[in-house]
Amino acid sequence: MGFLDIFKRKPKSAGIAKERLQILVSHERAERGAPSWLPDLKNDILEVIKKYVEVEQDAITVNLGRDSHREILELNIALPERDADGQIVGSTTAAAKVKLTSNTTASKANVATDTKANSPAVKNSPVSGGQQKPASGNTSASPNPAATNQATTTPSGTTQVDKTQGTQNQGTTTQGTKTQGIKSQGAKPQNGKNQASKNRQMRNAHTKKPTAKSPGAKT
Amino acid sequence: MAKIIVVTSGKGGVGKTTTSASFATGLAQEGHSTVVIDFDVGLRNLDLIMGCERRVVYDFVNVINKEANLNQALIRDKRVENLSILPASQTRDKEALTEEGVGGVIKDLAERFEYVICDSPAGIEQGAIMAMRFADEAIVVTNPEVSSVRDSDRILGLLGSKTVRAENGSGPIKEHLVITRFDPTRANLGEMLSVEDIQELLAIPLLAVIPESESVLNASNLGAPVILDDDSRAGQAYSDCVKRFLGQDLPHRFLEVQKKGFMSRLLGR
Ligand SMILES: Nc1ncnc2c1ncn2[C@@H]1O[C@H](COP(=O)(O)OP(=O)(O)OP(=O)(O)O)[C@@H](O)[C@H]1O
Ligand SMILES: [Mg+2]
Repeated sequence: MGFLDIFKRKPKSAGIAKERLQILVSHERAERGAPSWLPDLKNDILEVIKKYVEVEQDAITVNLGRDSHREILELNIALPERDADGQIVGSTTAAAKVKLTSNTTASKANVATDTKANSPAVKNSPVSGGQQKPASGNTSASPNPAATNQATTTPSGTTQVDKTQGTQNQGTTTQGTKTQGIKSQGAKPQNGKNQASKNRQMRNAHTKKPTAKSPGAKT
Repeated sequence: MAKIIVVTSGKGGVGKTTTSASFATGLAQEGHSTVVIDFDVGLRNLDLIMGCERRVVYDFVNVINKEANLNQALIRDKRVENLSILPASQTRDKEALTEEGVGGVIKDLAERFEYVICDSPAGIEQGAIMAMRFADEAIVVTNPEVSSVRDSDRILGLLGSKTVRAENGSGPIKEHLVITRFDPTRANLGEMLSVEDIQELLAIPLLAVIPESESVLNASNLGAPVILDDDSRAGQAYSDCVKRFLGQDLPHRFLEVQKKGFMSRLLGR
């Protein structure tokens, strides 16, 4: 190894470790409080989709989050994109957010669908019954501003977590909180004193997580 | 009213026992009567770290099973006043730690001591759950390393759901982060998660950062908690940790790369 190689190895591993942990930990926090039927629901949806499109077993992610008023069931489905010869050239993510107002059923709920293209610039195209969405940077805007933390994928395949939300939370120990934008909306703003209880709430709530399995990662 | 404090981590070998021993010793040094319990049934180690392994007659499980009373099982530390150790059983398994049994012993200890420190075993099974079950506060020990941080987050989830406090709504457990085996050189180079990274990820208040130090191994060889080694960085960091816990406002030391003098290099401190 040459002397100059020392300087080439700049993207240091701790940064990657942190990024991986942020995604993983928020996934696990979400799963911790998740109802037991969530995996079954996920399987059933996958079976239905498979009738029409060829998708991978891991093409679908289902998250249950919540804001102050209701639970939000979020589906992300990575659909393969084919060229004229039927070759898979990429994928598109169809994301749907279903809001469940406490005990009401999904059929009554408000469904919004975004299509996220396989590029960091995310297009917002409300498909069915979506509310008018605020344009917000490159996050795929959702009706609920608290739920706009999305992982987007750069062409190089690294996952970036958008951290634009939830800034009023937590003073110094911020980033972990920011990626959990759902929390900042759901709870009343509090000051540092109550931090421990806030953390707990955050950890045990059905927190919305960044979409880790982003379409670009597969290509 | 006594405070019950669990020292926990999820992942094994991150420094729970090292921390329990020094933390308990430090509280006693500060004049608080303290008992430290080894919950690692089957793999007892606290007695070795505290240097009382040859004085173990009865253990925690004997007390639970009423084969011995607390007076028979508690070992009084010879160096520090107000400090006792309740060793784990080496021959049973963790199923011996029943909720009723553990609860009873902790209740008795809470009447005699100001602080009850519970040294949790690794994992998330019976032993670890029982160690945290009755806690008022938790010291979450983490190394600057991915699997340790992930496991700590998992443990924080359990503290928020599987403890008596979580269940009966008597107020949440107060959580403290202690980062051990921290190496500022490697963190500065970006090879290891930084203190800020870990704090951000776990989002609980930082109590202390204990540097990686050869004096820890030395201390366990001697059977004297590292906090008793005033010259060592780890010992000083644990001392600060205890004082901060008791309310003193002390800056975090040993976060910067140490400029080693010739002598300290020689002594490995
Ligand atoms: N600050 C430190 N510097 C250097 N070595 C350390 C430090 N803290 C702990 N160690 C070493 O790490 C090892 C594990 O420590 P310890 O037994 O305290 O961990 P533990 O979390 O109790 O493990 P277990 O999960 O097996 O109970 C020991 O060899 C100890 O000497
Ligand atoms: Mg141990």
